[in-house]
Amino acid sequence: MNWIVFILMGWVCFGLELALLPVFDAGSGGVHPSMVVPLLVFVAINAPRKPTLWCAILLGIVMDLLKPIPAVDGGTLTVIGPHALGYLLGVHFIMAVRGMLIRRNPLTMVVMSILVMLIAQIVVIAIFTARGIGDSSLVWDAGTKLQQGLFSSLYTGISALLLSFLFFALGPFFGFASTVPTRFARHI
Amino acid sequence: MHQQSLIVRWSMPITVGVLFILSFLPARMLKWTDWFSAQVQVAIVPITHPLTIAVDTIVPARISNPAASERERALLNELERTKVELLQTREENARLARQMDQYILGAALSNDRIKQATRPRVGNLAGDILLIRTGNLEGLTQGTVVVSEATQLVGRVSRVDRKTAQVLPITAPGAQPIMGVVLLNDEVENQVRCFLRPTANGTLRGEVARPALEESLSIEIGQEVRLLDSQWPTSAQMLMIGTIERVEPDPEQPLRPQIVVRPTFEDLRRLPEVTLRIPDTGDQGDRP
Repeated sequence: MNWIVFILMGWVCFGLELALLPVFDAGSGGVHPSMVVPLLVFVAINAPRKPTLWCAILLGIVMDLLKPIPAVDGGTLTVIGPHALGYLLGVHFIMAVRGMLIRRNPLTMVVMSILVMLIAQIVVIAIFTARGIGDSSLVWDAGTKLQQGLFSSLYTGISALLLSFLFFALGPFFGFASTVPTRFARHI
Repeated sequence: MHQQSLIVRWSMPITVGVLFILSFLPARMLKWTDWFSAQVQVAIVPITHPLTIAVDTIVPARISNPAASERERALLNELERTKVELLQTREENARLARQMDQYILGAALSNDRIKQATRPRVGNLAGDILLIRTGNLEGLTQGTVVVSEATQLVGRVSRVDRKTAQVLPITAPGAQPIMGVVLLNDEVENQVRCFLRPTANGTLRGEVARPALEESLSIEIGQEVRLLDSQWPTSAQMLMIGTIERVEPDPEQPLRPQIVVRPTFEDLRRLPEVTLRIPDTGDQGDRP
């Protein structure tokens, strides 16, 4: 896998996600699509296992660093780990099912992005809720976040559909080796 | 060779273990993450800023009176500034009258002076946080008051490093509730207190204390709501929170109607620039 292309695309996806956040998150309800998860799904479907896991950790750590949580003292707190672990679990899910996936199909990207986003959100919410048991310094409402996470996951399906065409076009630049076994398609 | 393969084999479990531990570290042990967060924000700005400008150009943010021309808007801003000064002066008079007693008792007084700096928004972070291109070199600290167009209260600085500052708007879901006053008319005494919480849709909602005893005065749509909260600096008092968008009766408390307040700038997350009201720590000799 070409790491330079991956990092460049990750940078663009983070930029898109943050720049479009106020527009797509109409009314600041906390529901907005992820641009990063479709990239992760695209890599997870095509790349070998080990690089995929490191991609998940890398994107997750950057997401953690860009998602400060409001604290009760009026400040914010950056917790490293929740998104990284969430993305890692999401990628593990793709690893488990990718042999049955049609790789170059936008609908695969849509469905997998929704599921990975949902898994990642559940992990993040679980970690922050568990943190809140012994440390109430964060402004955190698990119910609201779960609701936002669910709708954000569905919303991510739309961004995945649009981004999938870009990723498919850029596929050769990622330099994926065709070692992923698949049931429905020949190796490219 | 064998040593390297061992490291490679254990690198993933060790990383996952470290991430798990980091996820549950107490808040007081996570201050060091701010530095890494700042570096990532700086690295991401070259892509977010042009994209933000492009997005704001394609989908312009709505303002309170889009029909107003540049000149009309300048006049309205000037009028608004004067109004704030008038209200602040009246409030200051009332406060000074109350503090006369404290003078007699020897209570210390504080007199805030501020300097203002307008800085561009270079992006947004999750949680409705604005990322501003400025840093603690300018005297910015956590809690610094942030406004737009001189008088519209935006929020407070939630974190600051050398190159960027994060601003948590008053409408953000994670923002603290604020106390304000509804101005029933231009007389400073005809006002009622309200306690507003963010609603996560760009507005604030809260209950209003019982309106003035005069039957002619009532809470109506369009009335201004201004900050009057002891948790905020004196210089920020009477800044505009917004105008009343809806008035809803509360069946459980008939004497305390619920109001929904929207800032004059419809979406505080999309302000092109903000003004920071930095406490002036200049020499005492500079003071008049």
